[in-house]
Amino acid sequence: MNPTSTNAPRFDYRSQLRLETGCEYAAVRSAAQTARQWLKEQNLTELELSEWELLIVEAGNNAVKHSDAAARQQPIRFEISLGETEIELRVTDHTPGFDWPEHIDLPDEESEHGRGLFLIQSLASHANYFRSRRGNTLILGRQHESAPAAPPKLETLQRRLTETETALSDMTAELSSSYESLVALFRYSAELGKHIEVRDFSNRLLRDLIQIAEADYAVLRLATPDGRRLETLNIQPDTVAELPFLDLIHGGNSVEIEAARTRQDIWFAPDEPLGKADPLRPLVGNGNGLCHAFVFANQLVGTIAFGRFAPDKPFSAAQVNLLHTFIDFLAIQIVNSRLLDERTAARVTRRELEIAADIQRSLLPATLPACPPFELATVCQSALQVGGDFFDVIQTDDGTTLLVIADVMGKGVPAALFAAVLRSTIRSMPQLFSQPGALLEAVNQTLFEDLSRVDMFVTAALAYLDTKHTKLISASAGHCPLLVWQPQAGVTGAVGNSGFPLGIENHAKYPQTVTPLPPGAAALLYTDGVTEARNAAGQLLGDAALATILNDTARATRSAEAGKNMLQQRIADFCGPVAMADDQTFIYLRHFQ
Amino acid sequence: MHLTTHENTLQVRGLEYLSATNAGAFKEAVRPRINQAHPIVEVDCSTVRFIDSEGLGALISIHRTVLQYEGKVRLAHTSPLVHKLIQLIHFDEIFDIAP
Repeated sequence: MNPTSTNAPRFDYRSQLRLETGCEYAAVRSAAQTARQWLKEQNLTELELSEWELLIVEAGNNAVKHSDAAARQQPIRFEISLGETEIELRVTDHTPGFDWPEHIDLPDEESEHGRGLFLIQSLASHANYFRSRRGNTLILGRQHESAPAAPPKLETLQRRLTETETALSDMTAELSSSYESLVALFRYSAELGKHIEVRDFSNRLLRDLIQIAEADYAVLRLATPDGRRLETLNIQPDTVAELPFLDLIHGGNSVEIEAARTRQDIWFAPDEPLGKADPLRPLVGNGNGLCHAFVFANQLVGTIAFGRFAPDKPFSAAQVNLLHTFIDFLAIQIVNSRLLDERTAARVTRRELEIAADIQRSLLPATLPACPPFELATVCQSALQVGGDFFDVIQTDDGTTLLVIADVMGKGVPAALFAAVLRSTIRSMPQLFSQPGALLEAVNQTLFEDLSRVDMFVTAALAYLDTKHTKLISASAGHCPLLVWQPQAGVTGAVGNSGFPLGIENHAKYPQTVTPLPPGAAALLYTDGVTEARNAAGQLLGDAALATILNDTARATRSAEAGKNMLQQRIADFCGPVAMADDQTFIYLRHFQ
Repeated sequence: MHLTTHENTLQVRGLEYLSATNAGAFKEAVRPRINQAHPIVEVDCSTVRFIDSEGLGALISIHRTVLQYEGKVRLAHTSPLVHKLIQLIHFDEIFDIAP
């Protein structure tokens, strides 16, 4: 229990006693006995002395009852001021506090607790309770019956002068610290919303904090985005040795991990030192300090430990509040900086995708060649801005046409780039157009190394349309089968899906299939996005349903364009409101008489 | 604090104070001595200089124990403060008071 000076109260007193005591029952009782002795010297009656002793104990016990671990590290302050006719008691604590009840009644007569506030209300003529982040203050007052005081002695006056000087000095120091804090906070505010280097910002902030709060060191750590580790961002002063990262999952003896997990301030002091294995122990030594975990939107951002080497200089509540304010700023800046980084990265990615999508669109044929007596219609829809589907229609000088449909594994920029390479490679081998199997073999050998290097592959189907003999010569590299419809027989079944995808086997062979397309016949080349389209119930469209749709379409339509529209509509009807999960690409071919 | 028995009464003497700091110890010392043979507890308050709400709560705890044996708590030689407190919180309706 240390008598100390604080800011003078507004109560006009002729003498005053100030005491600071630990936040525990025995210390409160001891303070009350000291106060009783002092009040006795002020000529109070025995009953008054007993009643004031009781008031002090009840007020102090109340603080102890509402304390938590952090509050128990902070003192309770008693100020007893004796005026001409009144005595006032102020009790200031740093507990979470409580709501002062509007009506204070006695509890049930068999209850063992709940009479403290009733006694306070009964014995004091007025009681006011104020809660704040800086501390809670209970003010009690009542008249006294003491004889008029004798003129104060010289030594009393000297003591009061010294106390006043100390109080003024404390107030000046606090004002100065508040001014410095405000200047720093305005400076930080000016940086909010800007893109800052977090390490530089935290450097400045920790230096300010150490200076204003008169700390000796600060250790700032940030939680990794996966929440598994605490990594050191900054240590002040920078002469302190590097500290290892902390494992938040498996824990360990560390005040920082404890603060991160409980999200409470953890105090350490000479009588409550850090564990021997705590990484901070060599730095902290026998000093005082606390570790504070800071969060944003309920997510752990990091921890800060700060302290003093002197064993007898704990931080005041005001200094701890200062720490909280500064660290709140830091948390906002860190989160702000991360958001700005993410937004910038997203913008860059979006722009890259736009460019890649432009490239991919430019690969598709601007117009489809006429190849009588056949008609062609095509669809290429991407689920993402840039998909892996690709098709091409290449007409040779003799009027024959090569149909190409392919699906590059994956999506995005790499898929689009390989689609471009595939297109160029196929177009560079016109001598093989009439032999799609040999063409696939040559393309596979050309692209094999590039695809293998990035662990990618491509499924593709090539169909050489012989308009003169009205037949289709096709070959497939692991692609969806070609569907053929005949006017009399309907869908006659899938044609060829044998062969490895491109990029899997360097010397793969691709057999060819010849399919006659008599007048009225139709053919459909498509990617797996069509048969794997899902409806709201999660069901796939499937091969059989697609065959039915093709059958209905071929019977109902009289142009390739109308057929294409009907196919698209029927697939969309099946999916309902569900967004496309994969690309959908197809080439619809029809032989009209 | 001394505990003695006289006929059907458990006598508590030499108690200097009863507060939050010793209320628990007081209950632990007195309650086990209450039984069928000693259902009455008499606390000699002549030496009690101080009592607070937690101390009063300890007396209620003793009161609840003696009720099991149809006994009672008697407070003897109460000081002006103790007497005033007892009246203030209506303990005079529960305990026997012998000033």
